[in-house]
Amino acid sequence: MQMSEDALRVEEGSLYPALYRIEQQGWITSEWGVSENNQRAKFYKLTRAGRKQLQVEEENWERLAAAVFKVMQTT
Amino acid sequence: MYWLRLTRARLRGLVRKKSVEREVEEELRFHLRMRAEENVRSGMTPDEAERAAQRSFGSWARVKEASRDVKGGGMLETLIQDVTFGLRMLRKNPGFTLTAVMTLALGIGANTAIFSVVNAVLLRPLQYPNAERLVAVEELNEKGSRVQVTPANFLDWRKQSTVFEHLAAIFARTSNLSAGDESERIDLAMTSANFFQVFGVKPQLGRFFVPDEEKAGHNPVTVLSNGLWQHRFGGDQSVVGKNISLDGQTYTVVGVAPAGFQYPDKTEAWIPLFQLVPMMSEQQDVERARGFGFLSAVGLLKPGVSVKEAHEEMTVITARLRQQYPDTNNKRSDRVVSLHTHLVGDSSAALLLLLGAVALVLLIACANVANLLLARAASRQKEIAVRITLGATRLRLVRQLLVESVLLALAGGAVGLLLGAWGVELMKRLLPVDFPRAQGIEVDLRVLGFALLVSFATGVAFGFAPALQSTRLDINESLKESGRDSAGDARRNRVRSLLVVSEVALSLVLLVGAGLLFRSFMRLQSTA
Repeated sequence: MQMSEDALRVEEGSLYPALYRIEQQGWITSEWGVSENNQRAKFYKLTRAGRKQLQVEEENWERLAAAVFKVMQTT
Repeated sequence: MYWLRLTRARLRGLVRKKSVEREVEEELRFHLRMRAEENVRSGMTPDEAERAAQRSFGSWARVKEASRDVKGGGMLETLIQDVTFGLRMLRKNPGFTLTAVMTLALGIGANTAIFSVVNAVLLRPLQYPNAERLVAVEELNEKGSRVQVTPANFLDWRKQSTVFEHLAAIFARTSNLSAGDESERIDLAMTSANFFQVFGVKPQLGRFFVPDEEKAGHNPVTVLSNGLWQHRFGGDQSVVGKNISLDGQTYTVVGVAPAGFQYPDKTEAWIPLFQLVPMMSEQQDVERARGFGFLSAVGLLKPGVSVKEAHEEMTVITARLRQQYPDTNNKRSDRVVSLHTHLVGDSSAALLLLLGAVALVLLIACANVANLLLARAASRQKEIAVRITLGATRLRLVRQLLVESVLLALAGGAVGLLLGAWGVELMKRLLPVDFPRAQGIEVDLRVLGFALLVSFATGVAFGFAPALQSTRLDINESLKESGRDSAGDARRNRVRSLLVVSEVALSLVLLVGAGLLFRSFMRLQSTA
């Protein structure tokens, strides 16, 4: 049971390379700030281009999900 | 936009590597800290909380590596690493490096030298104001080979044609020039009065010929080349009006041609054509001379007239002259070609052949160096096996090896360029004196670009097969000391024998080509 959970789990660390890549695409911007409990932390913000891209990706996802759903129903 | 931002980020990653890395580390550590605090709040001991946070985070090293790939200098950074490493490897094997560089230098040098000739003779456009409208009218005999134009035909061409703004005749010969006490042998061109208008050049000093000076009985006048003016008269402004003697006859200098203008090649002085050829002035002598040619004809096309249109008109005129003067003209035809084609003519085929030959030499050099690389690959097998075990991808290794061979090729190119520059001087001395446009042969920017491109392509060409070959190996076998006659060795040997076979084939082609070249050269000599 433990093994299969491990296999499906996405490591949290892999978030960061992905974030940097998205930042280089210009979809998010980042700046250093201070968190609620007074620690230096990096804050990410969605840019306008990012919001547009998000919409595109959302539509893509919906189309894919709908297609998968259809396939699952017919079988 | 994206590329701009990416490049900026890459450069930042490259230049400020340390601070970018520190920033990433700080961010990742913050993540771990927050996750651990969360774990403590849900009831774990601090120790447990930290370990759980690390577990869910995944491999610290891998995340850092991936982040560096995104944020770091990327390709550029690895390229710089590859170059430094490559240079170190080349320094470590001076014998190998020297052999390879010299082999390549010979090949690249030969190519550079021949290309400089091709560049100056074939590629560079003519340096006259009207270059693209300049044509030559060639007279051909029954065998279709070029013969000199007869004065009578030239006069008829000029009278009957409509496509030329100017059509000029030239008779090139050598002459004894004396001015003051010194005399020397110079190349002289006798031309029709409109000669300079054809080329559209302006006199440096004085004037060119006026139409009347073509006629017999007019005062003999001459135009000097800029070079002659400089070296015989020291650039004296008052040279106009002075007298010089050509073959014992006195000529008055009326003008000086602009610097760089020398047509035909090496001409030092021009005089009007017809004053020295009295037969041209009287109609009956002209007719008698219809069968005797000694001129060449250059023309300036009217704007908008193509070479083909000019050729068609001239064909009609020649056909008419054939009917009119069957005795002398029935076997003659003519051809209008661009002046560039006229000048370069027969030499272009020979030059391209020569370029092909030196390209083959370079290919042989490539095969040789590839062979050397393969031989060396055997001794580097362990190094490569270790790097693969440590996680280097094949792509990365191939790129590393290719960078090394391109470095080799560039070094070869640099030495080759020196050899080539020397070869250019040698060629200029060896080329026949009447070789067209020979004085313009030099190593210019285009030749430099050519050498660079050839070196680069050479590096990839000879490096590719060995790079693929030496990264394809069985790690277990090659890590063992006894992995001497592994499958990789057999494959490598196959590639090496392939290289030797192609080398022999190329050499054979080269040898046969050289033999044929020599034979046609001998035939040319015997007909001349």
